[in-house]
Amino acid sequence: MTRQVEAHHYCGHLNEDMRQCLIYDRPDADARLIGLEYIVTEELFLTLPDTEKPMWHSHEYEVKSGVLFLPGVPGPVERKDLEKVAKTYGKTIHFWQVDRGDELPLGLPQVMMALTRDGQLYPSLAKGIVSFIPTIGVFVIRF
Amino acid sequence: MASTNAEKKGVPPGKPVSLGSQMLDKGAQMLQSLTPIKQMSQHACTFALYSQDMSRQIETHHFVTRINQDFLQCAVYDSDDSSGRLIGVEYIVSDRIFDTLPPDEQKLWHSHAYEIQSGLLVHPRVPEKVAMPELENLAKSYGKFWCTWQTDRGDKLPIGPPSLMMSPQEDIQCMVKPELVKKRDDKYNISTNAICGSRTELMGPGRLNPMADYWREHNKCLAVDVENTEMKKLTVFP
Repeated sequence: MTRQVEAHHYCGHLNEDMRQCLIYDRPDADARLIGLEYIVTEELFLTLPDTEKPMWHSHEYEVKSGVLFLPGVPGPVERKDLEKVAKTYGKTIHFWQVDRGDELPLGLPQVMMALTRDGQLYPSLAKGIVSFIPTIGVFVIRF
Repeated sequence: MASTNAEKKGVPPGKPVSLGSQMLDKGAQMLQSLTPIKQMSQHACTFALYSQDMSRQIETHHFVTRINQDFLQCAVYDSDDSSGRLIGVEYIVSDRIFDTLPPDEQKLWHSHAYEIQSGLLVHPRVPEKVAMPELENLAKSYGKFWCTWQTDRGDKLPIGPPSLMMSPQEDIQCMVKPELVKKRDDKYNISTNAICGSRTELMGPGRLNPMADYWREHNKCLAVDVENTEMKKLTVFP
């Protein structure tokens, strides 16, 4: 959890129970596509095999603490959407480790976990953020 | 509210998007700039193979953003309609950039020359003449493609670690199945064979880097696995 990164999600609904998101490192025209996230309701999450569930994370803390928000959207409207997101689970995979200064997407993908309680987030990152995702899972490649 | 049978069988399973969600989405679209995703300037349709099992081949739809002359990033879907599932991400670099990567990194990448020369990669509904400058660029490039949702094997949700994908080559063990190509051709009313004939002058990189398409020289496939690791934490939890 020592490496944390700012992430801008661009999401679309596949249906009411699932969204798929592209993750960029900033909201600009030259933003780098650093990963993706799938978001499902608890109902769908519970259908996953037990071996799969550890690669997913809950969104409850991120939403309730305010570190996850919808830039530019008025409060009451944002709240309605975030009420749904708070009850969902996500699988986030990053391919490009821009936080360590990589100029190109090197190495293996990283599965990202979410913040789940106070004290995990670096204070310096708390200003102007969308969501913070410390990593704990590792993909390895075998020949 | 319990799901109906039809909703349970869909891929992914789930209820149709509610009116409330649609309105929230429309509202957000009006208020937010969505700049990064508006930079997608190309749609390419091609085929890819799972590096851990090259008999598994998929039709892919790449929505491409050019970042600079040497680098493109692609959101990859399994179809080009509104129900298309996001199945992965591909990064594309010029041969100039590829040659600077460390060899261990190069092993994860694949070349594009054959895929383009053979007509497997097309820009749907774009005349060949218009697409040609971009095809010339792409023919010399290398790609790194991670697939995160194996819809071809019927997964209703994205399960498992990402798969490293490879590109079609002229080797017999990775030829794209004719029925897959036909299905694509019929959908767009094109002929891959005819297109191949018109691309004879397209050149690949000056020297095809032997570290790309690692399996060809080394007869070894690359599979990704998950390993649990000690979590490094900022604070100690009570």
